[in-house]
Amino acid sequence: MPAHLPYEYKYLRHKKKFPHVWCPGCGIGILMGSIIRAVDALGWKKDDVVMSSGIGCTSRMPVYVDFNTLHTTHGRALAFSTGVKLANPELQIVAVMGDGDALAIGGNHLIHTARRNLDMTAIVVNNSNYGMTGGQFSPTTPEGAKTSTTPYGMIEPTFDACDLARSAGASFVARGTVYHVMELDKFLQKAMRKKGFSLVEVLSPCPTSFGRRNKQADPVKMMESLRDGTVNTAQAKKMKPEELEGKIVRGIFHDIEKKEYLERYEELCARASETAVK
Amino acid sequence: MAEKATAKPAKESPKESEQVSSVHIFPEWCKGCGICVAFCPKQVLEMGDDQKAHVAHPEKCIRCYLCARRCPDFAITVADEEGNIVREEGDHQ
Amino acid sequence: MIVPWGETRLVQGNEAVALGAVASELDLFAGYPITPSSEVAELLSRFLPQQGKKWIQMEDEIASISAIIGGSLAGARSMTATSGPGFSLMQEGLGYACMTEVPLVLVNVMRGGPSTGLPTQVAQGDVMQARWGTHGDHPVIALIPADVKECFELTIKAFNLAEEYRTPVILLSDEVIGHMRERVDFPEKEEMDLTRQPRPDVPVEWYEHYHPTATNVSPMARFGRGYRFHVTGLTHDVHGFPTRKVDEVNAKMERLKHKITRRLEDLEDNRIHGVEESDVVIFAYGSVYRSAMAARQMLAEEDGENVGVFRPVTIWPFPDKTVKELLDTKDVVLVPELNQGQIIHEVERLTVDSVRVVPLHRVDGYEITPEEIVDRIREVM
Repeated sequence: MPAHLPYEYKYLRHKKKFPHVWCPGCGIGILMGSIIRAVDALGWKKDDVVMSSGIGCTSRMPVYVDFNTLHTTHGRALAFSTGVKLANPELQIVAVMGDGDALAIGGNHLIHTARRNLDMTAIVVNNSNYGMTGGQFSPTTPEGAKTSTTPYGMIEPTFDACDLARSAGASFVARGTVYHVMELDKFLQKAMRKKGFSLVEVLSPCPTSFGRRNKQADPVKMMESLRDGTVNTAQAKKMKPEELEGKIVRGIFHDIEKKEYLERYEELCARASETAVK
Repeated sequence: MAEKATAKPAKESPKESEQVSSVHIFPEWCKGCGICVAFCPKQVLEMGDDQKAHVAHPEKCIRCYLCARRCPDFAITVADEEGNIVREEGDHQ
Repeated sequence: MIVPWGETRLVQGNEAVALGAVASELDLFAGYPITPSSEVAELLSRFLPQQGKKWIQMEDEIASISAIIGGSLAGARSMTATSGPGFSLMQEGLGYACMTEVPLVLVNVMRGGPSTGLPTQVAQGDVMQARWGTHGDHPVIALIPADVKECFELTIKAFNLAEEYRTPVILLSDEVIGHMRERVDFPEKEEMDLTRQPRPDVPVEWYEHYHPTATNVSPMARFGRGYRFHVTGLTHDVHGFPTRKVDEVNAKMERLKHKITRRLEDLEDNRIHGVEESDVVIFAYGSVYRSAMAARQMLAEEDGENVGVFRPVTIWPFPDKTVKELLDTKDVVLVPELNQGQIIHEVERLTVDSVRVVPLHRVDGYEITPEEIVDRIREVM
């Protein structure tokens, strides 16, 4: 037990679970701290928070936090969360998913939960592979990268999850990294405070599965890549297309006021009661 | 909204450098990833032979909190002048 | 007033399911359209918003089963309705609900299979799937109605059993029962008995989400009420935290099994007609039961023969003990099914070799007629 407890400690569950399961240098623990700080800053009560997840390294997060926690099936965190929210709209839901979980098998649920603009926050940790199962490629693996199922290099193109979420109907979309942790804290707070569907993509290193196969086994190197390979929106505006080539943009891309699903549902119930045969 | 938790002194006798340090590293949770050491703006930390992070230059610490925030393992705490573990005022809206 | 308490109506089978759900104080329906179950969803889309309750059409069946599990964990009485292809999609979620001991009702209105099969026609091809469709060893309770009134009653019973056993309950209807219309005399509301699972009353620190009890069922807390518990499909300990320790894994597996098998007689629900007095018995379930009863009458009237009928209403767990007791002494047990032989293997398993177990199959999308049953009985006698 640390003699000096980190501030976030009061939100962690069962001291005996630590040290946690994630590899040295994995960024998921960094994100967990950021989420906890956001919950604290927003003044949410632990009893009102539901953390849900799918399957994968990121999805191991719920067991470590002292909230209502729901570790579901692969890709389905948002579908389970939809039921939770409908049953008890007072609950604040944070769904944490990996890139494979959210964008491959879970892609359909991401589209429709965003389309409904149901009030919850979806966090997609993007480490460019399926880490837990040994490092197979995912929809965000960069072209040419080596993974356990792309021994000759990835041939599939990727897509932009933030674009997808925005066009599907999310009312808040942002991208950050675990290197830029202060910025991430702010993004998460805004996302979680927002009434509506928020998506935050978080770039994170996976030294063990992805890094090792791509000459980046060192966690520090991977964090440096996040530092040097990304720019914020202000910087991006000033850069020429050649300069932006190969860089990933961080920032809040989308933040609009839009009717949330349960608001619509309430209106529906009002209409239904009027037309009901008494 | 600042919350304070009073830091208790470590039971075992720490190295002298740690006694006055604002930064504390809990070796049982540290996995030796090196992130805190690499990105400390003041080079306060060093990797030890035991593959754990150590506080080498506590006097240089400016309490930026980046080591604690970037530690994936919750193995680092940063205290204020009075030794309290606080969240920064105004850090969050 | 949605349910016509105390009144008589001409009702469709699927409609009776929807009314049974409303009578059971359904809080959340999440489903996806599929013939021949869609009427359940359509009617509830009208009823539930009138009550301020939740109804949602999800993007697919996997989302539907997932949503009702999430809803149940957050305190909603939840249900979905589907047919073969959707039932197949729901298997992973069903297994999750079995593993995490979450009460819910899953209505499967069976149609011709396999695959897309005969969407608008009757079959009973999902009976074994209801028992073993999802991977791993898991408990299952499944009920099969044979008329419209039972669609109402067994839906209510399904909710009650789900709460009592803290497990998903499957209602196995079929296209004929689902789409037929019959007169239903609805009970008075006061006659209704709804099981509400007890909520935990221990201090939060003492709460065990899978607390060992004599019945292997423990009170389940709900999200948001102060007990911050963990739910996972990984094999888990009494707190719900993942474990690989041999004793804890065994304890969980035993708990899952024994909560259903501990008192099978409590779950048994059979309709038995003239079985003791006869040497020839028709073993039928669901809509085929109707033909079996008509055949029994025809054989009595035309041949002066007393042919018994045994019908399980609760099909899973299978009524092993009663079937063995009553049928072991028979000469012939005819098992007419709208499949290529599924329940017949259960009957064979339980009866001694001297009992002739005779199949009668139909998989062309039409009902086995009383005449077909009569002809086959005459053949074997």
